[in-house]
Amino acid sequence: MRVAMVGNPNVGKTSLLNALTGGNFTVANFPGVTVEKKEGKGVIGGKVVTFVDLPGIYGFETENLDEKVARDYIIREKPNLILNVVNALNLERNLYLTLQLTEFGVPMIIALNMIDEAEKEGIRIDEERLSEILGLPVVKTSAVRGEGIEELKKEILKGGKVPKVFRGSLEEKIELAGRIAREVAKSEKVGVSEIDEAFDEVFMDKHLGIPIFLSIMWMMFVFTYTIAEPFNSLLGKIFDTLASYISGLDGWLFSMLGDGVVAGVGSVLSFIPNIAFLFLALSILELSGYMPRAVYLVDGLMARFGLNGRSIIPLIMGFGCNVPAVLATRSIEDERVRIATVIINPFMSCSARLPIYVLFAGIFFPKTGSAVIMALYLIGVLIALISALALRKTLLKGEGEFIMELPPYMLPSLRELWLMTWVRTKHFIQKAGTVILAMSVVVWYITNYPGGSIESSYAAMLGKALQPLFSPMGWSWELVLALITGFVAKEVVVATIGVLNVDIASVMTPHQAFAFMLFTLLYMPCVATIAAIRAEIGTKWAIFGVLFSFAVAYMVSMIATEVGVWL
Amino acid sequence: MVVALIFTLYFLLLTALEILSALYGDVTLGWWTVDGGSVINAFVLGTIAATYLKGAVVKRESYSTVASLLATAFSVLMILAYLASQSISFGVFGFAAAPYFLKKVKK
Amino acid sequence: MTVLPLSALREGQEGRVVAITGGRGCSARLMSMGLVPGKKIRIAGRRGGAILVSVNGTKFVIGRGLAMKVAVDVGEKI
Repeated sequence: MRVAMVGNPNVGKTSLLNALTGGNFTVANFPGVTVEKKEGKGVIGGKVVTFVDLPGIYGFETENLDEKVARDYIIREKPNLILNVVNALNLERNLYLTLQLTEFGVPMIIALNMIDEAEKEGIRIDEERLSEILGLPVVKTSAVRGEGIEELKKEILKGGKVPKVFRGSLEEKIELAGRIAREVAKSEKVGVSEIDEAFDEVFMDKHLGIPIFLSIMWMMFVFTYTIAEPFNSLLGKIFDTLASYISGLDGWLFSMLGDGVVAGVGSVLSFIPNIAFLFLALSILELSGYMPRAVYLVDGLMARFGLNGRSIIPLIMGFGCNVPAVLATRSIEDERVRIATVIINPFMSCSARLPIYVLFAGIFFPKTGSAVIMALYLIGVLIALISALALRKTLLKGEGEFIMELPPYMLPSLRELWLMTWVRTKHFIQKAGTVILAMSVVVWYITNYPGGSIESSYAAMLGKALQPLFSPMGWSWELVLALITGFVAKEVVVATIGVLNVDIASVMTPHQAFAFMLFTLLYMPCVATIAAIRAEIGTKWAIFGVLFSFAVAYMVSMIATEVGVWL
Repeated sequence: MVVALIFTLYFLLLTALEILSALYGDVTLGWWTVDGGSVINAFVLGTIAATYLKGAVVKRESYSTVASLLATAFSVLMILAYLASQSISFGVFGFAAAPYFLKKVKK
Repeated sequence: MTVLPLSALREGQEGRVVAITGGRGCSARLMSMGLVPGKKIRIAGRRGGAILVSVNGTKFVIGRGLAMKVAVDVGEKI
């Protein structure tokens, strides 16, 4: 028997699922979309019942992805029963969804959830009258306290009832929902709970809201990068050892497996701790209810650049690493804003680019080094915001309308946090793995063949062939080659310059060096980031992102070179 | 409100020490040497102090509750960061606010 | 009756929703969330971009674009 759980957001569906299945549920994605699907099995009266928790929705009339997923599930998968979870604190609005659900002709049961809180607020609901009006079984429950669960299970075994259909326009249904709510409930809830008011007062304070938000962002940053670091380096070491062991064996196959596949995939897989920690931090922010408050705080600033409040988190995360940052855009519901946020993300200077700046600034700007590096970071942010505005005015036009309900604050359950983190991390490994595997083999091939050393490889030929393209900037072929290998990971730019033994002080002037640093800041996302972009917004946009950032980098560094010559 | 003022002063002190450690390297308090100070950590501690202060000024307990929540979370994080990177910040002393927070939440 | 778009209201101001202009999708979305004509609405906060409103004891963050499409009567004494 399959039961679909349907209800508004924030009605306690997940806790109810938890109570019905004894915690035995999993999180996955609905086919083809990133909407999360919670599914669990419970044994009721000796029978196995599968519960599917559909995304929280308000109705079926808009083009919203969550609504489409829920509607498709009910129509195509034909569940045996709809368990409509209703928030007793806000009966009127919840009943509107109930009236719409009657149109599917599937047997239904109503769970009047959060009844304990409603009664504390002085709301009395006559569930028998409600059951009579709708022609459906109605059970009062409190999932958090475990009240009414046994009774609900009994009703589930009975299989619910096919409701009588309430047809009519949107306005008529809303009218009717209001009338029913007034008839069965003695008082509608007026105020928000005290704790929520207290937290909102501080988190959205006029003066302190933004500093508190920045503090929380910094904590998330420390959590994702500093605390995940030992795990990263451990994984890195394991892959390095493995790679050098395999490539030490005789034959090209082992060389490809070792230096290509294991080293390449390993360099990306060692990001996994970062990504898992980021997802854990994001899940905490999401499930605790803080996220929508933060969005409200920064929306004014972001709206000026055609983004919205939700874009701020991925942009800040980008200073650490663009891979988890791109994945963090998932919480942006407006598709166009989301694509714009992903495309501009690589302009946020990630930590892998720092070694390049340090190398060049140390040689060319010994006195003003930190100011030059600071300037690079700021230029990155500036170009990101300008690009966002440009994209939103051209390719991604359209007003980003948004409305979000502020959910009550909650302490997230450990099990749910773990499940959410795991499903998201797994999704990244699956999606990014294939692209990275292929790219690693290609890069290994062009740097090792035909000569055996990097100076006589295809990559070197490519460097020499492409050098004229960079003649306006006047970079030597070694530097061009370093840029090509930097495509795998930006740190490699420094490594390649080391391998080729280039004396960079003699091949370029300070302003050329600055233009080169600008180019490495902007030129194109590394393989792992491209893989993440593709996983999130598709191949077409990933290609666009590469070309776009290359064009921007080329223009900016050419201008910098020209200005430098003129100065 | 007296509690809020005491916490304000306590976190202002931690902020000042963190800034000193960020600017001049090691700060030694008796047997305890702090070397991992950072300006951004000081910003977080300063924000916590400011939140307590506003609570004392507008006479609302909600500010102290949230400030204690932030302080507790930050100190847990700084302890983890110490385990991960061996550098320590004055943020770990925010743990002093944990009992106050737990008391408030129980209520 | 003094009707203003929601986006023009000051912080702390109260009113009653009279109509939702704009397309079908837009009004369906707002109405199914409980922003229905006849409901009392209060501006709980605003800062530059999005507006924080409170309806029926539920708080929403509404982007400026959408807020311009909600007509509110602020003339009535509530």
